[in-house]
Amino acid sequence: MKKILLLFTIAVLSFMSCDYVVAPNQVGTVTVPLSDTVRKIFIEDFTGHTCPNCPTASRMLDSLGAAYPTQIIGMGVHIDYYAEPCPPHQLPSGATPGTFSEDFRVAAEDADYDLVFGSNSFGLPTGLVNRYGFPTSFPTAVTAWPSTVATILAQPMTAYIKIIPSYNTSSRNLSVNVTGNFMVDTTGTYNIALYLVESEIIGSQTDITFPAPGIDNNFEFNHVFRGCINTPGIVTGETINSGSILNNTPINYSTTNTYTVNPLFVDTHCKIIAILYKTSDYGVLQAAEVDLR
Amino acid sequence: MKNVLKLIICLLVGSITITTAQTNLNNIGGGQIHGNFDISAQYYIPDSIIGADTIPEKALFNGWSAVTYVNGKFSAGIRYESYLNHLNGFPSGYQGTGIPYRYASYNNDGLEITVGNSYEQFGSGLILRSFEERALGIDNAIEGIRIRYTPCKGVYLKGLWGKQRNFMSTGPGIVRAADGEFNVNELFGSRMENIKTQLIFGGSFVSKFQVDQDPFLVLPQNVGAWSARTNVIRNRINFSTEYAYKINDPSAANGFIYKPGEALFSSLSYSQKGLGIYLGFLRVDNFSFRSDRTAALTQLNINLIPTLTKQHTYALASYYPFASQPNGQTCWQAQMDYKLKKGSKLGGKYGTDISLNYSAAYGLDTTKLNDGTGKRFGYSSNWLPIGDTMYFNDLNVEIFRKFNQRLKATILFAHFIYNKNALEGKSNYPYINADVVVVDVTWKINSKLTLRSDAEHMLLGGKKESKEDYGNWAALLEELSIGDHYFIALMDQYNYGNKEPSRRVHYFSGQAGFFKGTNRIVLGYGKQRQGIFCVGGVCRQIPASNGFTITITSSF
Repeated sequence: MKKILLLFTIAVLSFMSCDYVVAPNQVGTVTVPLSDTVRKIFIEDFTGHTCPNCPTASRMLDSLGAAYPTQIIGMGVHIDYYAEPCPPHQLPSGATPGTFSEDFRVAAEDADYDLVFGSNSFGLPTGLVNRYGFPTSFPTAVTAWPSTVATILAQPMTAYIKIIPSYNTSSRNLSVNVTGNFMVDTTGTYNIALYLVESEIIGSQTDITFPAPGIDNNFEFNHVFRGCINTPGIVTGETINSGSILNNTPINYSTTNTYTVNPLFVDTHCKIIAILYKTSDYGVLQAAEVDLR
Repeated sequence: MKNVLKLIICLLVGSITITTAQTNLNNIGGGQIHGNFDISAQYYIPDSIIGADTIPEKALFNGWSAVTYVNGKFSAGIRYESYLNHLNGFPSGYQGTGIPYRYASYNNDGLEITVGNSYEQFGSGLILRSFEERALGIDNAIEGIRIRYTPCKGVYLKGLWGKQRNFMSTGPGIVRAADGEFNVNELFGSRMENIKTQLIFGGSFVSKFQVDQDPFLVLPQNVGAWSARTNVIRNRINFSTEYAYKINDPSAANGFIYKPGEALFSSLSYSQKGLGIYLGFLRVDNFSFRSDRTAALTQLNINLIPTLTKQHTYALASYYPFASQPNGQTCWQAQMDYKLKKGSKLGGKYGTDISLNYSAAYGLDTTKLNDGTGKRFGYSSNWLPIGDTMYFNDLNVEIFRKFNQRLKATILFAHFIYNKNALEGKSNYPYINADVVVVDVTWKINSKLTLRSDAEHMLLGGKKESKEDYGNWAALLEELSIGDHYFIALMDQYNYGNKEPSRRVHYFSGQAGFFKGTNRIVLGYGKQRQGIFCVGGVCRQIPASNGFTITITSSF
């Protein structure tokens, strides 16, 4: 019997191991390519101004942007309960009357996000990292964004896209061309979706890291999702190619509608985001971002 | 020694053993095939008042069918699953059709080897429990090899190595696990015959591997957890306890902190005729254990933290269920079951069963550590005192009495205190105080007809609470069984206390069912309220819905 137990113990210990980590933080910086023809990651950050943990996601986007310069393209999608503007009786405890009046929601697009991704049942903050893992393991928790980004960046680039906007500052009408090429042989249906985002908006945000009552009245909201450019109200964009696609197949897409930028948006703070994705799993092949003007 | 050699051979060349076993099977005639079939489909009708969404497909469907073949020491099985598309509210990873569960197993001289998918539990499941809970959409079967070996009576060894099922595929992590259990009384046989105390000891070790690609952190690729347990039984007393420990396991569930985790689960029970007493204690600290560190919700859990709260089955009594908190909780439960004697003044002709139950769950007493640039433990915690944050409290009494051959009734009173912020990730909700009363009467009208009536009411305490949540509810169920083959049920849940008059909705539903042999067909129509559905402390959100349902089950 003793021999059996000894053998069992040895067998257990021999094939199992534990990695004790004494210094968890990486030393040095991550080396990343800086040219434009690199894989870029699109992160949809689902958030709300009365969500006290959501600034953590915003800071994570900043950290990832610093770790992978030019490769992280973020978009703050303000949804559901936590994004509602607060009338006086719903103000967060300790908030000054009149604050939290901003409404960053985009009604039709938010409804479509819910229809496609079930976003209204997400627990905030959370996100979609290149829509990776859909439909089996999404959304991606904020703390898992770095690992997911690293996993995606370890994969070879499969497409390249570039945005060429045409914006009339007087009429505020916008049309967009997207060019590029596929970089692998592939099959499937591929869409391009174009989004408008606005940054540098100062407003109120509950923040769990702030001293009580945990409210930052000078929070800077960046890359706030303002709407879909090529398919207003529909977040899935337009199909540009389907079937068998060969390596080096060019991408040449132009918007067919005239999109007028809302006069309430500060157009010098706005950017255009383009994503190319496969419709079967929403996986983003490549993303791009450019200033509106 | 012979057994030891057999164990080594089987561990090293398990696949060869299986091949040999299967070859031998060709010479064995007979064998039995068993199976079962289960489909659930719903046609959805949008209803903006209750929040029932428009479903693009209009009708959704889940289907399962399992077939098992048993021939002597050999067994094999598959389970076909189809989600076209999955029912609304079911985890979205279940898409399409496939055979995600299949296995073959051979058992010879105490050595059982299973290849393919298998379910397993070590001890109370603190460090490993793979199981299927279809109602929740949980199936974390391990795909790989499982070995169970009983070298002699009283010694039970288990080992497994594989990947966990992740919806229709497997997760990225690899799970390696071993468990040994020793029943002292069985082991020493006749020498322990006169000893009234039964002793069982056990120990487990589980390790998972997942590659580290994080740009900011050095993540442990191999994470180990161990546990030790014992069970002492003497006369009418049964005591069991298990302690588990896990090394640094940064994950999305714990915010990528490196603090080791630990858990303790103890229970003490006493039973005699007419009286049963149970006491339970559970403390969990940073013990979410998954084979994918980025997984969330009910996905890819290696272990299962049990819950110590009563599993209510009545509709309104289960309105505010407790969801087990693997990141940190201290829970206890006490229950006493007492039977008033037959023929006594209080007990009546058939006796009366009284069950008194109390359970509570609190957070841990923690101190936040600002060590993000250092060890990243995140927080420190104390065993005592327990934390200030109460998660859940349930005091309930249930009385069952049979009045005569035709009439029996159950009365339940329960008082809940529910922390919606902690348990549902909300903010700014006060504690919800809810009082629930249930009267459940079953009347056997004649030899063919039985009517069950179940009236329930939930009253939310305090004006503030009533304003903050959905307010008071009343429910009525009438269920008529007709012979052995039919039933009809009608139910209404009425949210008459909703703060918004337009949402004071009746959730009517009706079902009709037909049974014959092992076949069961149930048709239904009605509204289902949004809520949380839990089994064993594991929960998922149920969206509001409205429409027709059909459920068909069969087995052979």
